Amino acid sequence: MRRPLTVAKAPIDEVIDADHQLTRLVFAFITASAVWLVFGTLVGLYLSLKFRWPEIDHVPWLTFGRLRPIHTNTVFWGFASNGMIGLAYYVVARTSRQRLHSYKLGWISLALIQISVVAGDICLAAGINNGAQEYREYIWPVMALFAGALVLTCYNFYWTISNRTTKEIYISNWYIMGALLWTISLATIAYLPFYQYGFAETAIQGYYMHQGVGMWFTPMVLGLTYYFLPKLLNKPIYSYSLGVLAFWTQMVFYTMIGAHHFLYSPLPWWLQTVAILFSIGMLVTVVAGTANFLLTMKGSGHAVRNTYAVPFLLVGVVYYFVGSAQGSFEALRSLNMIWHFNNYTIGHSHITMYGFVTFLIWGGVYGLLPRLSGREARQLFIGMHFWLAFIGVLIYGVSLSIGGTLQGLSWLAGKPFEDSVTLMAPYWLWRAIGGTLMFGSHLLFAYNVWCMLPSKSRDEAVETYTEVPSAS
Amino acid sequence: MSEGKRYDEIQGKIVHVYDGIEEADNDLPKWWLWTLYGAIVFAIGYWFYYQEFRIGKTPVEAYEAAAAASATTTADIDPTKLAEAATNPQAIAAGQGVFATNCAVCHGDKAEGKIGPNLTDDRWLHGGSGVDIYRTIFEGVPSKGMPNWGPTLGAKSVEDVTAYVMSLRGTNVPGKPPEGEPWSGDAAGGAPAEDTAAGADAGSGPSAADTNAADTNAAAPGPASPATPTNAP
Ligand code: HEC
Ligand code: HEM
Ligand code: HEM
Repeated sequence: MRRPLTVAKAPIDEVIDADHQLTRLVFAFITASAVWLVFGTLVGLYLSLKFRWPEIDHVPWLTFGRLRPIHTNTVFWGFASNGMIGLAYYVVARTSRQRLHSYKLGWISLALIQISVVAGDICLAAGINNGAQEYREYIWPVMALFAGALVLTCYNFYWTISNRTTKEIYISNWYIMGALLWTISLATIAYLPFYQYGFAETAIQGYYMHQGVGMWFTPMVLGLTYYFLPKLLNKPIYSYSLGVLAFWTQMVFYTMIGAHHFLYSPLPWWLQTVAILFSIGMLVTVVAGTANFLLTMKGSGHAVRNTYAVPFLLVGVVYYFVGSAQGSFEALRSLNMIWHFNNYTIGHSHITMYGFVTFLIWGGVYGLLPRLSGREARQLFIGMHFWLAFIGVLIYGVSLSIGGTLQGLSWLAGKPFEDSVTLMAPYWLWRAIGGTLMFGSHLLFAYNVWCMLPSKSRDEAVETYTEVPSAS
Repeated sequence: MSEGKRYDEIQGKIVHVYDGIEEADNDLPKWWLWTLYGAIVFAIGYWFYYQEFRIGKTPVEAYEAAAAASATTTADIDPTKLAEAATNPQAIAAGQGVFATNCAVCHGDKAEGKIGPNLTDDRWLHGGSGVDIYRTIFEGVPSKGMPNWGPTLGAKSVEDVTAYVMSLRGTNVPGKPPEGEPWSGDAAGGAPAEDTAAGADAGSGPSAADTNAADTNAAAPGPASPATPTNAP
């Protein structure tokens, strides 16, 4: 019998001789990310309890309508974005074998993001928002701060990459730069004043919602995984061509599919059809990307067992496939009819944003931080983090997928709405149970990040940065 | 930095090296191609199915087809058939079932009125004849919150539930106060609040619906009787 929690994982022997300034910046981002994760999912957990006990409170700023966008925006812009950008600062500089273009701009970006999330959440709680436009509920001045951070980061990365001392641009940087450029234009377009009402609002909402997940989170974490996976396995990537193919098909196909959020809406019928075709087309991309990762991992069972970061990456890669395949089917008219508007989609959101994006971020964090600071977290706590989060999101996904399907069928059968509410009650309870496990794991994560923070003495030891050591 | 390009036992020839990460360039696995072919075939098929040949229906077409399929529009509703249904215990029982699942939320368990009006008094907003009730139920009053049940329930169930509602007329279950015009399609004949459609159906002499209404009221005078005369002009 293997007891996964107690298997001794390989200690982090190698400490990267990284630039001390860069290390501090990366740690600042990751710390912010961990704090937002705890806050954002505390709100998420509370929301999930409200499904079971709707009468739990009567305070205006604790109402579902205000807390829900606080949850989604905090985990999006606070947790995931900070985490990804923080890791990207390291990866971009590292794979370009170049100092980061400007540390100052890096710190300014960091500050801008935190200000925008704090201000945005306070506004949301106070009932000041951009209307019910999912993931763009922050009013424009707040979102402008966030976009500003992206522009500065993009500029910073651009010059770092352009001054690289390597010949080619590593695929991670393709993904990271792609994600930044797309998201900057996305955020701008989504906030143009003439897209805020009427029909254009709907069309743009579909576009924005989908590009948000597909052109920001997805390429960012994929790019990071292209760095961390081979690095932690210490193995070559299976195929350069597959990576390039997945990258370009992602860029072409994903941009076409926003309308699948509004099937059976007044959007032109042909536009919906096109969105569906490319949603199925996305299977090509996803299979290519997943295959490349899994074929790279092939024969690395020992690494999965013996390191604590790789299991996170493995789960993330598998969920990337599962969640996206689920999405492709959800886009078919006949199935969307069942699943649209109900909890199945919430399940999909968490299978992807949590199982895929969040796990890959954690994999990167656990892979990188101890190597930067030379300080490890307790293995037991990392193991507990892994299992709580893994089992939690499994419960979350399975219960809402089953519940959502029954809910949709009940609606289609023309049963009274109340029936579907009573039907969902046990599934919502399960979601809250899964959510509790997940939230518990986030507390452990925050504690683990704390344990990995560099100590003062080490800061001084790696004071100067000369040149990146050549490959081992 | 030009690291020597080595040959990896598992992954083959290494084409790039970045920060110690090596990248091989294996061929795409053969099976992978099937996702590509599959997606292309699917795309062509789906496009033709929905866009070119229009086999798959747009929501508007589907809605129209469904509306047509649920047969009877309210125009050719037969008052005699309704009259018969209203005296047929089976139809009433079936209608009661439909009512309990679909209508009780708004009209109350005993049709005594909640969000929707009390259906047991003898004042009606949209007319109290069988045909009127059928039409109200079938087409609904969407602007006032009464759904159109025709497309959801289909003609048969609407007929059953109409029969049930007809059987309730004038039973005056205590509940929401009466709303609308008084309607007395009873023996007095010249029903004051009758609207034109019912009148047109009636042709010469009292319509079948009216006759039937008279029947039910007469057959079950009970609590209805005292109220009726007061409301009658
Ligand atoms: C969502 C709530 C709702 C449901 C469900 C509902 N109704 Fe109604 N109903 C109303 C409202 C509101 C009115 C009043 C409409 C108006 O003010 O014109 C009404 C009116 C009516 C009338 C006309 C009463 C009159 O005074 O003319 C009838 C008959 C009726 N409903 C039958 C039904 C039947 C039968 C069902 C079930 C198949 C049903 N309703 C389900 C809300 C509802
Ligand atoms: C092949 C890839 C994918 C396809 C085809 C796909 C498809 C879909 C569809 C059709 C919906 C809308 C469901 C509805 O409202 O009826 C949806 C919703 C959603 N998807 Fe995906 N998905 C894919 C991958 C992803 C990924 C990778 C993520 C996250 C990184 C993601 C995150 C979401 C989110 C958050 C929603 C909810 C949007 C909302 O709030 O309404 N999806 N997806
Ligand atoms: C403790 C963990 C979490 C719990 C309990 C939780 C709970 C919830 C709840 C209750 C909702 C509202 C669902 C509804 O309106 O029906 C929600 C929405 C959402 N959450 Fe979470 N959440 C958690 C973590 C996360 C994380 C980490 C992310 C992203 C990284 C995330 C992303 C989202 C998104 C995108 C939505 C909107 C879904 C949609 O509209 O389709 N959640 N969450």
